[in-house]
Amino acid sequence: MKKTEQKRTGNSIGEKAKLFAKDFRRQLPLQMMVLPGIIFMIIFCYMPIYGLSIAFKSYTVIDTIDSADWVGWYNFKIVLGDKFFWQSVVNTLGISFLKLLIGFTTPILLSIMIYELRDGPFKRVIQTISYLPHFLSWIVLGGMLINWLSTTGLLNQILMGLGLVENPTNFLLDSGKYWWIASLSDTWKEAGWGTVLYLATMAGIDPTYYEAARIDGAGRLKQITSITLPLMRTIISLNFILTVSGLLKSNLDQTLVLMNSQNQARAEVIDSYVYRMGLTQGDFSYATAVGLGVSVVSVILLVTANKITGKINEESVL
Amino acid sequence: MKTKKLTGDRMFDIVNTVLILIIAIIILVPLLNVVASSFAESRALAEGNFIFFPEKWSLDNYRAVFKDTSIWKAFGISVAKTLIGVVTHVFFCAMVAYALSKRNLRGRKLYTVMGVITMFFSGGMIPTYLLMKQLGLLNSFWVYILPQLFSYYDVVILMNFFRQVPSSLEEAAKIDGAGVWRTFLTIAMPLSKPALATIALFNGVFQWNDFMTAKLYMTDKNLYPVQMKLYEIIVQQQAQSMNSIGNVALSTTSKGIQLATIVVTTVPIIIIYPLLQKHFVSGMMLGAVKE
Amino acid sequence: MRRNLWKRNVSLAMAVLLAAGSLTACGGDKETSSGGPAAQTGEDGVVEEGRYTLDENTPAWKLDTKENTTLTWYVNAEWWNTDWGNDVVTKKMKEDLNVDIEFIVGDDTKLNTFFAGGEMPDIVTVFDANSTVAQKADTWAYSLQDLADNYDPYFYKVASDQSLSWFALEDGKTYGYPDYSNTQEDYDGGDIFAKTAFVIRKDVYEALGEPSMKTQEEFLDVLSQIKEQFPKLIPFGFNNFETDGTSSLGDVFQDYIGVPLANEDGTFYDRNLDEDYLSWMRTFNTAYKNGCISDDSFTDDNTAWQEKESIGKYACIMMEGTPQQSGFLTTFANAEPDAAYIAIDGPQSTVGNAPTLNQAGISGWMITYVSKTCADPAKAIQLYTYLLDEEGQILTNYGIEGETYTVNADGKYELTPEMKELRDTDNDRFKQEIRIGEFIPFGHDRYKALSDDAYPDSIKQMQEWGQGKLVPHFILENTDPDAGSEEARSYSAIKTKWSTTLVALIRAENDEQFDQILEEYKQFLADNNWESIKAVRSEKMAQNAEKLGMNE
Repeated sequence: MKKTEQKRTGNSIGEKAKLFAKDFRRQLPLQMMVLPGIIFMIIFCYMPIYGLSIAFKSYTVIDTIDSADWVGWYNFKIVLGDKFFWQSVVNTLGISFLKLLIGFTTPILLSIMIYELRDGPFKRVIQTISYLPHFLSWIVLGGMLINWLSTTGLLNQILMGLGLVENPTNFLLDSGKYWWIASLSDTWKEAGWGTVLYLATMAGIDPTYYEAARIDGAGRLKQITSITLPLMRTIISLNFILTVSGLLKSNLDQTLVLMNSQNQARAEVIDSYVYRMGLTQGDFSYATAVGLGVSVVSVILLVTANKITGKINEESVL
Repeated sequence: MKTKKLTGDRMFDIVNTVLILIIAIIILVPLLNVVASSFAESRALAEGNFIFFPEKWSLDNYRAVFKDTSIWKAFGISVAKTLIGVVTHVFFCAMVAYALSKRNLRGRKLYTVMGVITMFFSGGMIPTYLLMKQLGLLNSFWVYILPQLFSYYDVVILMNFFRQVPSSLEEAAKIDGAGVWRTFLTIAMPLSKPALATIALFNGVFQWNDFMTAKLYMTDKNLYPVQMKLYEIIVQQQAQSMNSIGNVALSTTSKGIQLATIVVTTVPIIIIYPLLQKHFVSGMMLGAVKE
Repeated sequence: MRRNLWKRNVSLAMAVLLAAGSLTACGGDKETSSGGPAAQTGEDGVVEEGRYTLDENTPAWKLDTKENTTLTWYVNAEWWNTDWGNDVVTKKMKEDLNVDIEFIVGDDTKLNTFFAGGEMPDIVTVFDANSTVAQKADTWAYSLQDLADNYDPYFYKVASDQSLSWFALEDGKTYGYPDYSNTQEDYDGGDIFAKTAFVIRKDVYEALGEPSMKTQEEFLDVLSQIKEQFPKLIPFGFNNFETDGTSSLGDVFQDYIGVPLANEDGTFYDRNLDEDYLSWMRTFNTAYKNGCISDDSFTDDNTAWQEKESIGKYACIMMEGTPQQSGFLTTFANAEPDAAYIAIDGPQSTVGNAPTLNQAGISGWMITYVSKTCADPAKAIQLYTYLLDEEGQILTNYGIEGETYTVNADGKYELTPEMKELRDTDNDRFKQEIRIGEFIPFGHDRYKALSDDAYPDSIKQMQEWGQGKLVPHFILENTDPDAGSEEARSYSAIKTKWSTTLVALIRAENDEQFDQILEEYKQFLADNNWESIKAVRSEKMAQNAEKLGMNE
């Protein structure tokens, strides 16, 4: 491979193009398989992308995208000069890091635990139960959480029953606890759903590996660390990359139900801030400018994370 | 030696099972509370002083959900769009992913960049709406299917699974004279069943739950999926309880109806799920195919 | 070299993209051309020949000979019932007007797609007089004066002059017409009812010997008694707090104790920092420290608050929007008739101000426009006239005489016994098949006063209590800084901060903390453009005064 590379670099552009065309022709059937995807992306993703231009325009509800006036970087200047926006960035990152720490690792552990259960109805039932919370909407779950975390709620009853606290407190009024509430409740809701991809990967592991390990005298834990985890490396890296690139993404539904006047300083995330400042006031330009900025940062994070994991894995997953 | 190891493994099993049971309880208690609440009489629900057994049971929430018989038609639309959507989506994505899984594919870098961009940048609601209008997809069933054909995220997942397929198997097929398509259909696809099942599940759940598409592009109520219908019921319930003109107590609240809708829409998933589950929990093994 | 290849691929992609772009442009052209002729129909501004001749003494809908017009009507609210012609009310409208309406509902995004796509519905109803859609209505809607002059001069006889001039844009013309727009006359006439009340559970009130709660000492004393004698109840509650709202403890409570609306010279008065008001906040803080206010009241969402209302969890409530609460109040009153909430004289000003309760203002609620691309502007303005006229108002509020209502000896409108029965036993069917009191885009409370059963029993006593306590707040309407301006952004931050501050004040652990939180808020004002926001609002208030003719 290396040799051909060198040979190619030595050639003129014309010959290179020829070589490309030749390779392309040889791969024609494969290329024809990609083509529909490319056409799809051009029509459904790239044709509407001119809509991003409203980030650089002064656009209101009654405008068409063409008719709105250009304002250059004005919207970005407004966003970046807004100290409340930066507070929401801090909160977003804080909550995202906790979610990375807890929400990212829990499904891995949980899927291994489920995988290690003996095949049978018990295993299937457990797995089914674990993903059910995914189907609760945040509106409903948020309402339940508000109830459970209130002074008369379940959590206070348990803590008081155990003698851990004397007087009940309303946990959602304590802004210091909000990041934990947000990330833990999110983990509760999504961890089981997150195991689906991992379990699918583990279903593809050749059972003879385990037999061999057993013959070598490896215990269950040893089998997990030396067989299961290494074989899940790619898919874990992939999830890791996507999670890292989503560090600036936040959960709007969750925030809107759990945020109140007292935890707002720690609860306001980028999405909820944009929602309240931009969308509810018809300021589409503002919202688009923030969205565009977040997208750019996300891509940078993605590329960086892909490079790093690519180095570790020797191959990039993208 | 042997007995020691066995007891070690035993211990592992016991600890694992106990932990799993604790987790299951943490997950189940709130869920059962949701189910019980959906069957609670509205005053008992408002009192909220129960976990599993409300003071008074009632089917009012379910009556409110099913009082409009057009909901059955909406169920039909949902089933149709989920089935057609999943089959076309999985096949379309698998096809593209298979080609992209070949690292020596010419132009792969460009394709990757194009794909990654679509994961993060979108033109937004308005230009997308105009596009759907130009394509004649407004008020058309195909608006549920066409725009959902492709997702680069799913392509990336499938691509990584296809790369796990031993290249020796494909080489062997090639020597037997199989073309790209035949290798794809007879080797790569069957060997990636867990991944295909996963994507089918992700996409199926999305299709089943999605009401935004209908909200944005549908004004024809005959084509509403069940989730859109339920969304409408909830919104109207909220408005009605705030605009009460009679002297009668409210038999349902929007909260009660929301709980009932969650149960109603989740039950079909629980029924269908085992069909997919066997493909990735314990089902097929790669080794078995190899032999 | 690799880079070169990359470039080639990119330019290829660009070429494809450009082609795609031109495709979009083609589509765009088509839209404008198809929009053309429709717009012209209205611009010539004449009724088509042979259809009818204008008559200022007869509503044009009675003259119009055109059969079957179809109009699309967009309502910017998802809860709007989109049925047409299947219930008593809209069936009659359909017959009288010869019109079929296709309703479309949605939110701001949906509305935006119509503008962006260049295809407007014929009639558009929005909710915010301060929004861009309303402020720039001259760019996309017909002026009502033009429509009335050209198609239906009778409109002037049924429209309110005050509402028309209040909504006039800079060119002096009015584009949208509001419902529930209350004028000074409505306030003076006593036909509209208060929607704010301080209520207490009747059983609690009687058990304590109907105590007075007017002064701060009495208020605290009664709450403490409740806490002692009714340990299961929360002594004092209020509407739920939205994220940047103030529940019923902000401007609602300020109105209740009569904090001045403006400075004497008509400029902006910072009501939040009024001494009288703040002394009551200190009282609430004491009540909180006494355990008479629950922390949960600050985190409850709308559903949780409504649930507490419907089971009578609070002994006393500072309540806003009684008609919207009526469903839940009725639920409680039916379950425990002896405990139903009643309004009493609650907290009073410490400096002798009288209550200045607020109601829907002159800006009303829903505002309805006829878009410039309307297929039949003549029919659209006929619809306005029809619904604004007494005939239409009676129809939407009471239905058809003999069929759904009768007029009794006192001249009061009354639903027939069958209708009442249906309403109270099968409310869903009543709403679906009769739709009385639901068709509200041109509604007005004045017509509700014609009947004794326009409101549920559970809030009638509260409304009676409020008689004579309403004071128009017209001067303060639409005085927020314009959306998108620097002041608007600062103001929005200040509103959030005030919401946080208000709750923190009530929850303060001691007086020093209370003072410190208040100081912090004042500092926040100073740091966030407060002076220029005040200037903007004062200026807008002056404009309002001019519109209302208050300077003359």
